[in-house]
Amino acid sequence: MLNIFMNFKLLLFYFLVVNTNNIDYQPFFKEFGDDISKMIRPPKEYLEYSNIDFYYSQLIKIKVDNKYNISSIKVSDGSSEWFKEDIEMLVKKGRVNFDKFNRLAKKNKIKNCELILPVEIVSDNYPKINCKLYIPNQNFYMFDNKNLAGTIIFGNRITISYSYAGIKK
Amino acid sequence: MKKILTILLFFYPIVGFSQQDTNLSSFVRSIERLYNPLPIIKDSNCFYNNALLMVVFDSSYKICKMQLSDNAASWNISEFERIKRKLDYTSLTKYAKENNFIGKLLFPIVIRRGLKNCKYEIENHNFSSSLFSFNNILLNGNIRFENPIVITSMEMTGKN
Repeated sequence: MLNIFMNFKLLLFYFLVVNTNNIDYQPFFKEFGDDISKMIRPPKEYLEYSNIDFYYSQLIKIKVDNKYNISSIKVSDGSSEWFKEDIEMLVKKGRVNFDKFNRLAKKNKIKNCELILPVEIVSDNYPKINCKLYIPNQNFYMFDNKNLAGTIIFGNRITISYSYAGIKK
Repeated sequence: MKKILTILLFFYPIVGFSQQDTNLSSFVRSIERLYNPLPIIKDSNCFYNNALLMVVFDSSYKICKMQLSDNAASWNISEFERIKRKLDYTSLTKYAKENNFIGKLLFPIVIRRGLKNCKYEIENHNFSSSLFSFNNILLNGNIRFENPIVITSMEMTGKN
């Protein structure tokens, strides 16, 4: 009986290690980032006046449950208000294609984790020394007033660059 | 037997992590006390530096690795190397044991000098993707972020 139990433990350990190592998260991050970057826009005033440069650094958290389904999409507490509102609106209005991302999660065996996508939003002339820099505040790594914790996977940061005319590059 | 396995599997996800909080202040205070970036930033009116300090605990709750994120500047790394042996680790190890924490504890370290409306002299590496990577591997696994350690002395805020 003990042997069976030990073998089962080894098998479980092997299963977990092999599964963790085989998962490729980046296709999910890339697809999600591509979709999001087409739909968000910095505040209008930043896109109309040529004397304003800007830089924003934000975090998006995508929670995937044990059935490969996205259970929530949230923006870190330290993100700027306009960014939070944009993402919340996209989720609320069903503009995020959950079906597509659920399928992608299943295809890539992504489950029981929280995916963190760093997003950088910059004006086209960045980097510039006199750029209006959005310095992440104390809550940058917090979501719903709690520090980020658990099984977490970070993705490669995506950069969204805007020209002054408001046309995304 | 089945019951035992069920119990083991049920508790598996929370073995490595518990939400219970413990005081890490002595470790944080020792960093705040010892970290001295002033020689580097003394000529800057506005300065901002951002990195992550990762502390990895092994299965016996011992610290097996401490490292700054890949975006850290060379002065940042050498300053950390200088103070590493002098830090107070007692609260860290106590924390890991009391919380059954096996994984990566992360401390954002922010060094800033300048007033609120300061136009910062941005170092590009501060916000690069490498902020979230260590030895070119993006952060992953059982992770817990702690509150940022913000280093702002009187000299650095320009109050004197």
